[in-house]
Amino acid sequence: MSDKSANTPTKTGYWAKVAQDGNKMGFWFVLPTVLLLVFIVVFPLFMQLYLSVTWWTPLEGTPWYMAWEVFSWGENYWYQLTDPRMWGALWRTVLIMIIAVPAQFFLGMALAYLFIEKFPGRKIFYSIMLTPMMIVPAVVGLMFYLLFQGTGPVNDHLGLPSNFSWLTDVNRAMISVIIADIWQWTPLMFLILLAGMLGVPSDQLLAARLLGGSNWQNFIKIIVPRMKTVILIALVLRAVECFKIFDLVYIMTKGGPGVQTETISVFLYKLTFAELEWAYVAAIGLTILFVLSVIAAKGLSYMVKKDK
Amino acid sequence: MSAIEIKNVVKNYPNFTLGPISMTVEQGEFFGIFGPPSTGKTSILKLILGLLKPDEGEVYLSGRDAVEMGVAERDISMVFQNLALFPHMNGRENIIFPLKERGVSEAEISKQLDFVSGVLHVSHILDKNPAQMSGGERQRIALGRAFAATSRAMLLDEPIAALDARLREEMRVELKRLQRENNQTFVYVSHDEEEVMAVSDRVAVVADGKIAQIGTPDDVYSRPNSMAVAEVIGSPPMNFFQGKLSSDGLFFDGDKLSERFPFKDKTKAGGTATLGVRPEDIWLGAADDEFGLDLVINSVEPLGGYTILNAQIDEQIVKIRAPGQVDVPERSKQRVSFDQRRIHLFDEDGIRV
Repeated sequence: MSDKSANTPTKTGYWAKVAQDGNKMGFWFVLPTVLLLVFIVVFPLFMQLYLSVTWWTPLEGTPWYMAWEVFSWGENYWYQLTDPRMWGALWRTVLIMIIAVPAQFFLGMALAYLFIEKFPGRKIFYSIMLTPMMIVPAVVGLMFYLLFQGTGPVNDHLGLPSNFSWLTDVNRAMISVIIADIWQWTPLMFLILLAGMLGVPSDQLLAARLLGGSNWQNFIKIIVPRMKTVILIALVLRAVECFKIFDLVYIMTKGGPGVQTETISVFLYKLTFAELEWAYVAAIGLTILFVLSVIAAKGLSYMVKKDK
Repeated sequence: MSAIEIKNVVKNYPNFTLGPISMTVEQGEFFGIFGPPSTGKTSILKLILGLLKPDEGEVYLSGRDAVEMGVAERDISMVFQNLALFPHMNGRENIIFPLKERGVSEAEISKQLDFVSGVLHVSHILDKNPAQMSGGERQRIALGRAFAATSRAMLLDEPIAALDARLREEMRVELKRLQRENNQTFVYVSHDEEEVMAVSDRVAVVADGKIAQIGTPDDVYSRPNSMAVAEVIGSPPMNFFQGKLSSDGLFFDGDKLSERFPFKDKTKAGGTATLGVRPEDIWLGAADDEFGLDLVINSVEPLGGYTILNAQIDEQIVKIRAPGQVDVPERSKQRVSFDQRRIHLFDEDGIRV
């Protein structure tokens, strides 16, 4: 090792060459990771693709690689487009997203605004503000499950009768889930938006104040435009997360009553473990993956263009 | 009526006390505040702006007690050292920002914009974003924004410190022209004495949280009322010689000076004192009746219009500023004389005698 130039001519063969060629060495170093990725990402993806074009279910006892025996072409893909339950789940997911995310955004923005200025106890309040975000979603689900019981604290405080149900009511079940999601994820919005807000140079705010703007005008004209990127990131992050909402819903309502709170994730879960329609699940999963990838790519290229 | 009046204001900080400060800025005056860094200049500005509440004393704006006035209500605009332009707005939007904020009508806005861009010559850069402008252009836009607000007074906190030397000189002239033509009240803060002296009608010299002297640039330069002022005003700085007054009060005896300096005030007879001479008031060569001394020239700095000579008496460095180019060999012994009319004497408390 110490005398490289003297050693090189004596050692020949492939590994000696690898030791001298950075690119080749890199290849061998990266190889284990690549193999791992192939095993956990690429292989399941192709397996899913394969299953999605069959009628295969684990009930019939044929191993998954024999699924070609029940080959179905694109039937699953066609079926999902006409499946009202799928569309319902999609719509409910979007509904949660378009109500919860803006609510979290406005609450987070308002809270962040309160936290720009220093005040006594700011750090303590700050920590308290962030706790909901740090609780495991399943636990939050349980908390709200208990809170929204007929005889639970919510009804108690609002003076509602114990037969006024939240989680088993056709409309209120959804409201309960959305409230729980807002409670849990407003802190994340708050955290991101506060960071962005603190990034607005204070002398620009001071200048705006001196030039006679009201706080509201300065907020709209100085703070928000300067936070544009941060706001975009926060919204995208939450929207994507919201699309995957599962724990809260499953624990609070199990998607019920009926399918009234069934989101895409809950729907897929039920199809997989209750109805064992694995081929159909594979088709839906791939479709969602495809659609979201296209949207994400579009969104990213838009952001890049804006930033240039 | 004075535009801004500060009366016996005191502001306490954990390890620093500002004040008591009293000063008056007249309507239409170009008022300079000069002081070394971190002596309380910015605090004075904040007191005027209302960002700081005085612990004692009052601030009056056009004769009205300003204690209860909010920041915007005080109607004072400011140009920041780093300009604080809004980077997401172009030049035009920056300038009309204060007008929009106050809900001025569109017609009035465009009239005011025309006026401001005419005065500041910025018509050609109105559509640029601050990031695309040069330092001087940004400076003009920042001035324009403060100007468009048509306020009671404009505070300028080291507004041109970030510019390069040539541009600074240009902007200095420009600022003065602006102030004169529009009869605006300017309060100009800087730690660069040349800048402040060049533009101001009157200068307040701040030292150690107090205003050491207020006067015309000529006043503070030629008749500094204390050593604190004499030390900070002038470049190169004033030369000081420690010594004491003779018991009959007729002479100043410098510890390091070979000759006695005749003096007439007898009130401080016998006390220790400091003699101050500005570098340009030391002349090369002997004069018959003038006070003179011998010193050794250490180095010569030819600066074109004038020459700085670094000389030495014992251990003490003496700076001499001679007009034009001077041909003096280094290490040579020279006899110099002081301009008798421009001698400053300070007593043991640093007060001018």
